[in-house]
Amino acid sequence: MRAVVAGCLGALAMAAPAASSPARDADRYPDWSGQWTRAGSPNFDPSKPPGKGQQAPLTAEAQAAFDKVATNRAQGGLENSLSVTCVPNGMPRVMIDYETSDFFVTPSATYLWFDFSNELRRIYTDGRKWPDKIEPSFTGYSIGEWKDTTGSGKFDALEVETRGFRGPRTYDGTGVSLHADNQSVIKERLYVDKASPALLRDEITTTDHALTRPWTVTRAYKRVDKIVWTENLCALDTSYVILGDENYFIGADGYVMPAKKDQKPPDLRYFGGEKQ
Amino acid sequence: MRPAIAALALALAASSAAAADDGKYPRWDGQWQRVGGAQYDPSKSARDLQIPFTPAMQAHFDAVVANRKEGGLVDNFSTSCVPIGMPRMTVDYERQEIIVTPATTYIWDTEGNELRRIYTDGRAWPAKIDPGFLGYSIGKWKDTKGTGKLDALEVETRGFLGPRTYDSSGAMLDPDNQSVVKERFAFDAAKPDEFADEITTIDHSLTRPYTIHRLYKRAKKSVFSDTLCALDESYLILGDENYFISADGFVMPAKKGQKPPDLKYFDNAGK
Repeated sequence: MRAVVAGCLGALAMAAPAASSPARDADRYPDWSGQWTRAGSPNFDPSKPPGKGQQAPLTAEAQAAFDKVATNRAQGGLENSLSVTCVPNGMPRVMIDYETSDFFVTPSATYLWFDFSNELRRIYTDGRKWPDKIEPSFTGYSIGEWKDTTGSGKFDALEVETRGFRGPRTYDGTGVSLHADNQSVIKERLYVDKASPALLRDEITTTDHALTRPWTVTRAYKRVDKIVWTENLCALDTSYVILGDENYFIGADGYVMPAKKDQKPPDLRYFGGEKQ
Repeated sequence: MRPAIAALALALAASSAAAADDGKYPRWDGQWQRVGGAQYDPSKSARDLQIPFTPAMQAHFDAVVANRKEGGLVDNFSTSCVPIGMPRMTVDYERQEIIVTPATTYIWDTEGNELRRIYTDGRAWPAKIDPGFLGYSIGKWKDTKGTGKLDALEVETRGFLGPRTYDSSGAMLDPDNQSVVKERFAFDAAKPDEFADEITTIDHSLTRPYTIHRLYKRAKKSVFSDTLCALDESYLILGDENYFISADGFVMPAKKGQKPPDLKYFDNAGK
């Protein structure tokens, strides 16, 4: 029963000089191993307040849609609160890093794992071209290029471009959506802060048809001293269920509960004459 | 809208590709697919795995089989998106991507969105393990032929969370989650596009260690996919009953004559 959204990138992968064994000159790459957690708030732009305070440069249409979402939320609704039903955060929201993350670097790809939502980003750094066709995914298809900005012979920044999205996607928990056409292009620059080597920064610029201009935010991640990996089990932990167009709670005893005042019970049209 | 960085990426290709492999580790990169069926032991019939269960676990499993015949989903945890965990992850339902770094080998299971870490940095067992469905794995690379090339990875995994089953039949591991799973991944230089995994499970629901062998082949084409269990799942468990969710999003019975869910929390239920 697990339908798969296939992302067939086969020809591309075959063409690429793939190899992820340990590198002979691994010293050229930064050591980003370990565990990271976000520095700052879980707002998409951590320098600004949530919701409208984010000052996302939304088009008039997108702003109207967000105003409607905000109204729904105020009434107990869950419109655009996608992650409560375990929709992946996708890009760029996954970069909020709600809990902890694991960045592992190989010459051919850098992998970013986010344990909160069990999402793995794969940033190809093997020199491949953009494929003719990208099957969409929530985290998109990322190509990166390592930079040696100081001429020291060591890479110190990773520039990434990501395309090929699937939706729906939001920037953060407030429900500001990216455009439904999923044509977003996200550019990032990941680097360790020279002044604060314990901080990894990511400058994220989103270009999207729901925006009037590219929207740039900078997030930071700090190293975790004592590494503990935990399993986050959204499907088990969530207490929400959506039936028809309505969202409900699942009570501690496993039964459906209303999520709003005076909410009607779920439609049991498929139970014919069976009595409770 | 889409300025390409392809040219720059191409320029980088030479340096990255050249740096990619020091020849010490087996070429384990890419995607891998299981050889054989999706039953836990591919050498046995799915209906008769011959797991060396204790009498108590055999009786439990017999009850599960009876429930399944009635349309029940007892011990079919993955239908409600419970991670399959170890050792079931080794079935490799869809594809697995393996990423080797000197300190850790990662196995990304696309079916369950599970990332397994096998630590190969020489660490000792921690005093306390935060339990997980995949457990905590420590591995050691071996050069069994003295060629200077590593051709086997021996792994031990402990520290589990449950419930876990061996496969979709519902054959369970002991709820005490004290399982120890030992594996030996073996590589043959003459067959660079396959590897074997010998998996031995020691568990209190077993009368003896239970060993099976699986074989995996490198996928000719890498296919990465979003497998979204929670979105794609059409099962709903309410109280002690399992139901379907219809294509139009409403609750449906999963069994003939099944009563509707208890709506006791709705004041106006049935009105």
